[in-house]
This record gives sequence, structure tokens and C-alpha cells, in this order.
Amino acid sequence: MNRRSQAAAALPGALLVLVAAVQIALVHLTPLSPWKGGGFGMFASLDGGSFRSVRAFVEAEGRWEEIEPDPGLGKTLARAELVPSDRLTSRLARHIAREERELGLPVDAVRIQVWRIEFAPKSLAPTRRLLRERTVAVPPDP
Amino acid sequence: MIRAIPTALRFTLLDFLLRPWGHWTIRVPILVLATLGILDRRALAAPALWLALAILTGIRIALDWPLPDNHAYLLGYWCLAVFLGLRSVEPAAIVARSARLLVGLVFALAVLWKVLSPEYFDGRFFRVTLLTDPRFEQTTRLVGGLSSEDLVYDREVLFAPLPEGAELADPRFLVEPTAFRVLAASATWGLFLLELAVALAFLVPKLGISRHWILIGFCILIYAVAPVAGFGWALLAMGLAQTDERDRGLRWAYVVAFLFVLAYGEISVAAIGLRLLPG
Repeated sequence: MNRRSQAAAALPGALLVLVAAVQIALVHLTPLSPWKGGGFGMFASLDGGSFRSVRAFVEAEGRWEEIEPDPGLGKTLARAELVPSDRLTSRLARHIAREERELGLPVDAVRIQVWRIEFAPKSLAPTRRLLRERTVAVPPDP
Repeated sequence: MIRAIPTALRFTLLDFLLRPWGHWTIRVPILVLATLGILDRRALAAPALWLALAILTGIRIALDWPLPDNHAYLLGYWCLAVFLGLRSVEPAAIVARSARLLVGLVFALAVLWKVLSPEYFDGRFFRVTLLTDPRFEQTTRLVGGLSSEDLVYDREVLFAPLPEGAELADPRFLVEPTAFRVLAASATWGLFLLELAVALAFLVPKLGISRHWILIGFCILIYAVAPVAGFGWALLAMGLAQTDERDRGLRWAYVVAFLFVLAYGEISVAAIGLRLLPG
């Protein structure tokens, strides 16, 4: 096999390693779930979608109220759960604000919390830990 | 006669057809291309088809990031490898070498993640997963000795977390029979050692480990318990692509393994075991 063929054969593997290296870095620098992002971290960590959850709160007329995020938010919700970055939690907050307004409800701000369940080493006693909280002020209707 | 590369490519296209994913704007062209490749030999060997599949897979991963499973990434790399191989002067050699590298790297990363995860080797990962993941429910009941009621109770306990630092005055303890603890420990070490063996067999050929039989054994054993068929089919396609044209028995073994993984997606081996058990 000549050098060009060897390079062609190695290219997909090199791409895999590059993406996996970025994924490993992201998992350690951000709250990205190890299961996602192309690093092949499946069946190693309990920090997956099953043990993460999103709570959403809406502020209107000086009062905060927890709401159940609409399952129709699907991918936006799942993304914020798996990578609760400022960008993705803000996007989810804006979606929720838009939906509330479409229902004719007042919204001044939306708060998103992403939680994770952790388990004690021996007893497996579960505790919840806040991974990210983001509050987004909603501009008044024009 | 089963030919290595064409059959491996058809396995890959079947993977796309049997486990379609993504938005319809991506899914429909993928299904059309996969069907064309299965039906027509010239399409199957056309580099353009594999480049298109690699690009569509890449677009889907980018659009849906971070939601796609690792399976999608693997298929994308594999389609790129097939494209690069088919447009070269020695397609079989390049496709085989790429496949070997991809399988070895996937398993090396799976091993690395287990080493990096603090929850893996102390047994937490499989203790919690076997109790909470519905895909393992039948296995947990059959081998772990838990009843349906035990599982419902354990899930109630595990999904009722306390705030950090808080403790219940009257803590609830999980139902974990000895057989379950043995199952969790066996799964922890068994999966790790198997993945390590596959990674070494594919990445360090000097060790002389029979990589094909280890990969086939891994797929037949693991996917009977963890039904993630799409991943298994991709691995088997890449394994088959590395076989020697003279080794008919090995190629048939890959076909049989593919069929096993196909069957596992439709029937639960553990559910059959539970039905056969008295009482």
C-alpha cells in the first residue's frame, strides 16, 4: 500500500479521534453528557438523559411559578438537558416565553434549571445537584 | 457465495434502512440511497453514493448536535472510509484497513471512558442501570433475581433524590439480592474486559488475538442483553470488510451474527428465559 492509500485509510480514524478528543474536553469543561458528542462514552457513566431533568419557572407580575415544559419543545428541551450551556438554556427560555405569550399569559422572565441525580457509592442514595441555572428577562410585547 | 466487501456494504445499507433517523429531509434521501445500493450493484460500488451518505450523516449530526447517538458518528466515518476506498486503486485493502482502525478506536474509547468514569469500577453504573433502564428489566429479573415489585420499589427510591447534603431520618434501602450484585459486578468487569480485548485485537495485531471471533462473540453476547442493534450491525459490517475472500466460514459467521443481532431487536432472550422458568 502506497503512502497515499495509507493516508486515505487513516483519515476516517483520524477524524474519529479528533471528534472524540473534542468531546472529552467538552465533557470536562462543560456539562455535556459523556453519552453524547461522538466520544463513544456510552455504558460508562450515569450522567445521561435518564438522570437529568429540566425545571422551568416563569415570572409574571412579581411572582415566580414553576411550569411543566411542553413536551412539544422536544429537541430544544433535550439539548438544554444534555448540554446546559448559556446559549441552549437561553434558547429554551425564549421558546417557553413565546409559548406562554401565545397562550395569552403574561411573562416577564423565564428561569431554567438543569438538575442531575447522583448516586452515593455504596448505598446508591440519590441526591440532586444543580448543573446550571439561567434566568432570561423577556422584553415586553411591542 | 458471500463476498466480503459487497456484503459488508449491504450490511451498512441495511443498518440505514432498518434504523432510520433524523429529520425527513435527511432521512428520505438516506433511505433512497440505501435502497438503490441494495438493489443495484453499480450503485453499491459507486463512490458518490457513499460520499452522499457520509455528508448526509454529517449534516444530521451537526443539525441535531448533541442528540445523535455514537452509532450515527460511526456510520458517518465508515461511509467516508468506504468512499475513500472505492475511489482508490486498491479499494479492498483501504476499506479493510480503515475498518480495522475504526473498530479498534471505538473500543479503545469505550475502554477509556470506563477508566475515566468514577461511577464505573465501583459498580454504581451497572447497579443503577440494571435497576432503572427498561431495556435491562428482563435480564435483571431473570439473572438478578428481582421481582417486578422489587424493581418498582427500587426505581421509586432511585428517582426520589434528596437535595445535596440532606439525609432521610428513616432511609429507604434498595432491594439488591446477592444474585443481582453478582450480575452487576460481572457486567462491570465482563464488558470492560471484552471491550479491552476487542480494542487490543484490532489495534495491536502483533498480539495475534483472533480479532474476528472476538468481535463476533462480542456482538452475539452483548447485543442479546443490550439491544442496540444499529451499532452491532455497523461493527459487523466493518469486521466482515476485513475478512479474506478465501475464508468462507468466517464470512458466514459474520452473516449469522448479523442475523442474531437482527433477531435480538425483535425478541428478548431474557423474556424467553423468564417464560421458561417455572412459576
